[in-house]
Order: sequence, then C-alpha cells, then structure tokens
Amino acid sequence: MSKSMAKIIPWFKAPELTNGAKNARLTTHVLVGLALFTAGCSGAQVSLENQFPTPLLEPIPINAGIVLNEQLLSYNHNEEIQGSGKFNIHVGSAQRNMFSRLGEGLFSEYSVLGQLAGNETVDAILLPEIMQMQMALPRQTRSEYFEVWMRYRFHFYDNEANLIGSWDLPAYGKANQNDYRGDEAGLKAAALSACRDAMAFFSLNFQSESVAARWAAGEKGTPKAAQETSAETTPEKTLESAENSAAVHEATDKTDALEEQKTTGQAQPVATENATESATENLTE
Amino acid sequence: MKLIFTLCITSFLCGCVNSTIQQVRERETGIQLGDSVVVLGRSNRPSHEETEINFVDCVAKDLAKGANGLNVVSEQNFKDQTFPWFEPRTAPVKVNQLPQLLEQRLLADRLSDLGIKYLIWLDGKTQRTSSSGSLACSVSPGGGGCFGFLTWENDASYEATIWDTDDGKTVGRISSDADGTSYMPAIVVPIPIIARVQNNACNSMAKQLKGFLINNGSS
Repeated sequence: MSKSMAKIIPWFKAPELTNGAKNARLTTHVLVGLALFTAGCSGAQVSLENQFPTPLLEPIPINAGIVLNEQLLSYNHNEEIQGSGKFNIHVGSAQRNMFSRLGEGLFSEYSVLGQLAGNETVDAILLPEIMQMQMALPRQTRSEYFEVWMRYRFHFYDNEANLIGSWDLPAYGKANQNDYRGDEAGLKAAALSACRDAMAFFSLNFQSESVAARWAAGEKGTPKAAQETSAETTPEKTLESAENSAAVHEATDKTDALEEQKTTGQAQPVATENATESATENLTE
Repeated sequence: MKLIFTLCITSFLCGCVNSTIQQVRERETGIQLGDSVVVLGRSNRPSHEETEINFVDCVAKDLAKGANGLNVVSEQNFKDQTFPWFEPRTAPVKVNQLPQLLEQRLLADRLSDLGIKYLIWLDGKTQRTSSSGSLACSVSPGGGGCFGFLTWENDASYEATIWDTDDGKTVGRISSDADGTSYMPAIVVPIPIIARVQNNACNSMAKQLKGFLINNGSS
C-alpha cells in the first residue's frame, strides 16, 4: 500500500514519504545527478553519414575506377584525451558518398570498385587511402574551435593495376564551439568540414598535380617502373614507410606537444592508433 | 494585462545595449525582381577567426523578413550549389579575385540560375570583454539556493562587405558595433538580466543592409 502511495504522491509531498522511500529517491537523484555531471566528460562517438555536394567543374574525359576498399570504408579514429574521455570518429562512413560525388563531378564516367585489380572496363584506377587523422578539442588548444586534421594518399594506377604514382593531400576542418552543443556535434562539424576541404582541394588541384595529370592523360604505369619503385620501396613498403614517416612525424609532434604540456600544463590527446605506437617504438629504437 | 506584465518583465530582465552603425557606399545599388542575395560568414584559411553561424543566420533571416524582404539564398545551400568555389580554402578573399572566378562558366551559370546579385561577406565576432563577481549555489536534502552577483560585458563588432556579381566590384561596407553589460543577481534564485548584444548587432546590421541594397533614396 505504502509503495503504491509513494508512486502517486507528488514530489512536493515528499516529506510525507517513509524513510526508506526517501532514501531510495535521494539515491536515485544523486545517481542521476552524477550521471549528468559525468556525461560531459565521457568523450563522444561521431559517425559521418552526411551527403556531400557534387563539384561544379568541367568533367575530365576519362572513365575512372575508384577503389573503395574495406580499409577505407571502415576507417575509425580513436583517441583518448585525459580528463575528457574516449573519442571515436567513424570517418569511413562518409567515404562512399564523398568519392561518388567526386566521381560524378570530376570524371565523365566513373565506377566504384571493391578492390584493386586490373579492369578493362575502366581507363584508369584511383585508390584513396586515409593515412592519418588527428583531432583537438577547444579545451586542449585553449581556443574556441574543434579541429580535425586528415591526410589522404591517392594512388594512381593504370587499368592493369600498375602504379603510376601517389599524391598526398592534407585536409583541415574546424568548428566553433559556440555554434554547437557538446563535443559530439562540434567534432562532427569539424570532421565534415575536413572531408569537404579534402574534396575541394582534390577537385581544384587535380589537373595541376603532375601525377594526376599523367594518370588522366592515359599514361601507363609499367610493371618495370613498379618494380623499380619496389626496389626502393614496394607498394606495401611504400605504405609502411609512409605510415612510419607519418607516425614518426606524429610522434615528434606528440613529443613537442608533451614538451609544451610540461610548460603549459595543458591536456594533450593520447592517440591509440597503431601508427603512433609503432612510431614511438621506432623513436625508442 | 498579462501581455503588459510580460513586456514589463522582459524589458526589465534585458540589459542595456549601445549600438553604432556606419555605412560606406561606393556604388549605386538596387534589387530587381528575381534578384537574390547570399550572406556568407568569413572563414578563410589560415585566419583563425570565423564569424558565428548564428549571426550569419540571424542577418539572413532578418533580410528576408518583412514586406520589403529580399530573396535570400541560405549559406549552406549556396556553398553546396557552388562547391568547391566558396569553401574556406578556396573562397575569394578580395573582390579583385571575383571576376577571375566568374570566368568559370559553370560557376557563372549557377550564380545566374540562383539569381545571385550581391554577395554579402560578414566578418567579426562577439567577445566577452570583462566579467566580475561571484555566485555560489548549494543543494541539500532540505532544499537549495544560490547567493551572489555576477556581471559581464560583451562586445560585438561586425563588418559586412557587399560585392556585386555583375561587375565584380565592392558596392559598399556596413559596420555594426554593439556592447552591453549583463547582470545576474542571486538571492536563493538567480535572476539573469541579459544584454542581447549579438542580437542587437544583427538587427541593426540587417536593417541597414536592407536599406542599402534596396536603395530607395532613404539611405
């Protein structure tokens, strides 16, 4: 009876409740309060499933095959920031729409391929790859902006999957914290801005980039050239060394950041990506 | 009676704002039937400053409101329709870059389709210039409350630069500055008395812009 009464007694009559019910209610409110208080420190899960615009450009007369492999489509950036929690940006979910729009605007014809292999139905093959991603919160940089940095590497192949060359493309996006509520919305806006920046940079510099221009002109990447390249760095090794160099660079940045942290007392991100770990190992060696 | 009471309370709870508007006209302006304008916030790289999205939206909405409201294309729609030419990395910074940009046939056609007559660039931001006081709140099983006094001053400073897409020239500039002090006394319950500085700067800017663009001889 007392339980059912407790359910219907309004909040302002709380003093009339039994001690047990009062304690239970107090505990509930304390827990809810704690949950709300800690919610702001629990990081964020960001998924980018937005639609991107089609570039307004004269299309290049080429039938391009764009390889969107599993590695790209499932790309996740995970980062733990001391005092702010774990952050996850699933930027891979935006890639299919991004490159479909780029293909529509930039090439007279295009098709999406699942993996890199010789394909007679296309003139040439493009394989995009995300090499590196970083993020910063306003409280880390003591600014008003959420920031996201990305580095793409575009590999250009002929239609027999022989490598012609690669092109590194940096992208940057930011979002003012005053325009968004919470870390999730701010980071999403910054990541979307970085994706648009990558698309804009790629679209407008495509024709002036030497490798891309040669690729679009129908140049063949001979297996010999690929072998010569592989004598120094095989495609796999190229990626590995690129990852390592990127990671060394990142690790150097992190070291600098840590140095700065020591002087400023500012919280810095602790990236959990393999690249960073391997770079740290390399540096240690 | 209720309305008068609400208005009295609202006006009492709003802090005072001082605002200043300045206008420089370089060329004649006018809006024909079918002409549109777009309001764009400055966000060029590598500058670290960006105009707040809500200020840009506020000016755009105010320009479209009223009997003599203008056709305003939203910033996001415009950027999507003209992608990638007005992104932070690629947008023209100076008006002398506009004629070269409009040599892009597809872009010029798209601007024509949208009926864009004027590009309005907004630059500036609202900043908190000072704050003082203290306020403490406590909660206990028997109740809770706050006690103290807070005060802060905000300063909004914006400039609109208007480009004519027909001749690729700047037609004028309008600056809107506003500042005001907000208060929050608290005796058990905090009572915020907010000076709506940014909103004031937005309304003044939009009103002046509308008069400037329509150019019916009043401005």
